[in-house]
Amino acid sequence: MEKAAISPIISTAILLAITIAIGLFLWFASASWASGAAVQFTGEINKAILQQKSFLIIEIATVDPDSSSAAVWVSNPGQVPVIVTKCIIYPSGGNPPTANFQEIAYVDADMSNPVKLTSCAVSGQPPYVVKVWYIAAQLFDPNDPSKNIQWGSVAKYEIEE
Amino acid sequence: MVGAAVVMAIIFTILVPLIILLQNANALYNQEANMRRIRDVERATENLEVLWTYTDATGRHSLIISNIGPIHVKIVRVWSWDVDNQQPTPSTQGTGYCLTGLDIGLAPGSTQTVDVTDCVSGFTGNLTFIVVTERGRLFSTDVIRLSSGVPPSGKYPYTLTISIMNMNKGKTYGLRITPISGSAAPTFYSHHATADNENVTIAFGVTPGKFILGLFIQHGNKWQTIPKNQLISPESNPIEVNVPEIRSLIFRLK
Repeated sequence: MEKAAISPIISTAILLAITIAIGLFLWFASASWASGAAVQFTGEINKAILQQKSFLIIEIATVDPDSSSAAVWVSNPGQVPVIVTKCIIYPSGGNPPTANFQEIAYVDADMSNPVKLTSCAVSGQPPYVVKVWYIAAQLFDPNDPSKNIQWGSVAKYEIEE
Repeated sequence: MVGAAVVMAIIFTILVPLIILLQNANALYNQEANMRRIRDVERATENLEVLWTYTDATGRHSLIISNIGPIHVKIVRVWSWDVDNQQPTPSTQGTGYCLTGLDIGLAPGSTQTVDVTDCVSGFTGNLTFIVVTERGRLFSTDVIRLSSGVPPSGKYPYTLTISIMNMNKGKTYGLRITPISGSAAPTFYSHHATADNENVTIAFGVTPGKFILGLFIQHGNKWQTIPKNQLISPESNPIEVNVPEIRSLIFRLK
């Protein structure tokens, strides 16, 4: 007794349909992965480029040890605006005090006027070291000041006695 | 054949564009990093000489700024800094800086004069002027002494005080000051110790500058330099000092 079988045309059509379905699945999965990877990579590259473009200098700084008050003048010779996120002043060779990241000042990429920082944390006695953390303004998140901080930089200045 | 078509489609519609995008992004980063390196090299190459002058006839203070580097430099700001109190001079404390918003371009080899009289009016003490460039470099003058906004009168505005300690009885010691830049008076002083462990302090009138101080001992008619192993301080004999940064020194004998 002969067994009934699927015709070669139908079987070919079924195999073709399965192949096309798997192919489409692979194509969509690959496209999804590729677009995700591209977005992530270009985002990281943009951050690295912004870091290369950001630059801050401390022009001068003055500290009154008695009142623990200080004034630090900074300017931005870089190519993008930066946000100062932390400013500490501590004895040279000593341990730096702890301070949280927060928006202290916005410094535009314009050398015509310096920005005066007056909220730097001062500790200890002279001679002092001034350290100012900054990050490109585009990378700064006011709701999470420590976000992207690995793309920030530090400017250092030593105050002579 | 269909499988091959799917593989080719993935390669040409996903992998190739992705590789091109990554290479472009990487090239952009390399270009920016290279531009940053160029900016850093240009910044490090800047070199200015800043000299302060005072004109008695007009009572004006000026800075003579010379570009002695190989690239064009733009000056954007001048600070007048009270060295003794480590703060801007009082006449600038409203803003902090002496002059800002300047647009002084200096080609290599060129010189420009900037009037800074208003920044030091009535100031008494030691100060220095700091010039800021557009690339973010700072250049300063030597330390200047002013009294009520003008240089102090007299040929020797500073006193260089030298002490010789622990002299030996019966020995004669000599102290010579040799100007490299600036001038001093007197330039030699001798002292005969009449007791052991005797001390003496001598004051020299000096102008700002660089000097070599040497301590000698007399043997017969000759003056011999006292070797370092017979001194506790300073670290060498003779020793170079800069006035007004250093205005006192102790030669401590063993």
